[in-house]
Amino acid sequence: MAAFSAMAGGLVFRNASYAKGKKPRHHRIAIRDFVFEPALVRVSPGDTVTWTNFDIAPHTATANDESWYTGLLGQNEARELIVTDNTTPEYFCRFHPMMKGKLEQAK
Amino acid sequence: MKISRMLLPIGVALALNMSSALAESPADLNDLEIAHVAYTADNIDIRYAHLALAISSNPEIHKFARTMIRDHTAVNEQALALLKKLKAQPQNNFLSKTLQKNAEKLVDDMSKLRGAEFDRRYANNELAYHKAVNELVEKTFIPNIENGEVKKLFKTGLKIFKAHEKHAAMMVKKVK
Repeated sequence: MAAFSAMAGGLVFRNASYAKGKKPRHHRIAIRDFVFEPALVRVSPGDTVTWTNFDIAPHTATANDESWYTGLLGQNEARELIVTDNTTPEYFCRFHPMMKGKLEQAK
Repeated sequence: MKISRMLLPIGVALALNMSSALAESPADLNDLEIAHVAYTADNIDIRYAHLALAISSNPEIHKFARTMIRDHTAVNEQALALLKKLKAQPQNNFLSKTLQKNAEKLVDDMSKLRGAEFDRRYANNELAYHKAVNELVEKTFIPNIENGEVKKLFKTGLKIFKAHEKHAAMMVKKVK
């Protein structure tokens, strides 16, 4: 299960194993007009990814295999994910399945 | 500036079954009447979604219907907040009444269907309804809205409803 941090309260898990010699980075993905921007993000274990929803309509970021899920993001709400070695890369919006994104890990 | 009623897309009039109401034109509505039409159209789609949740046993239809309720409710909340800020009340009009009347009949018709037959009808109607309303909003309402904040909200709403149109097209293929 991927690690999650809720920006507005909730539990924070930071148990990801950092990639050797790499400083964790913070990636920010905006949800705007029913699109994840950027749709493709290159990540490494230990990095943090934050999704922020700027739409009126609620959205989610949900792993294709449902192994991680941001929960419902209302307008201007954000959630963080801490990337691990086995974070499922492909994700979509559970409410609007045509919205797709990917967290690509270097092999 | 109001566009001519001759510019109202004929496909919109047919899809929304407005032929009998064309003596009056959507192009003649003021901002508060347009807001009422949008609020009515939102609530009609929410009503269709509740019907789908009650009748359908297809999990995909349920997911789609819940999304319609969630999104249209969110848009309505923004619209009401804006009207409150503008200290304005939406005004009922011929088009809201026509939409409401058509919806009553459609709900009656759909209520008699079950299983895959209901799912197909619901999905097809969602596609046709969003397509027709989107065309009306894009080609007639947005160009005619005079208040800048109301226009901005309609432009935002249109993006949402165009996404719904795509989603509905996916649903139509799924329940074929």
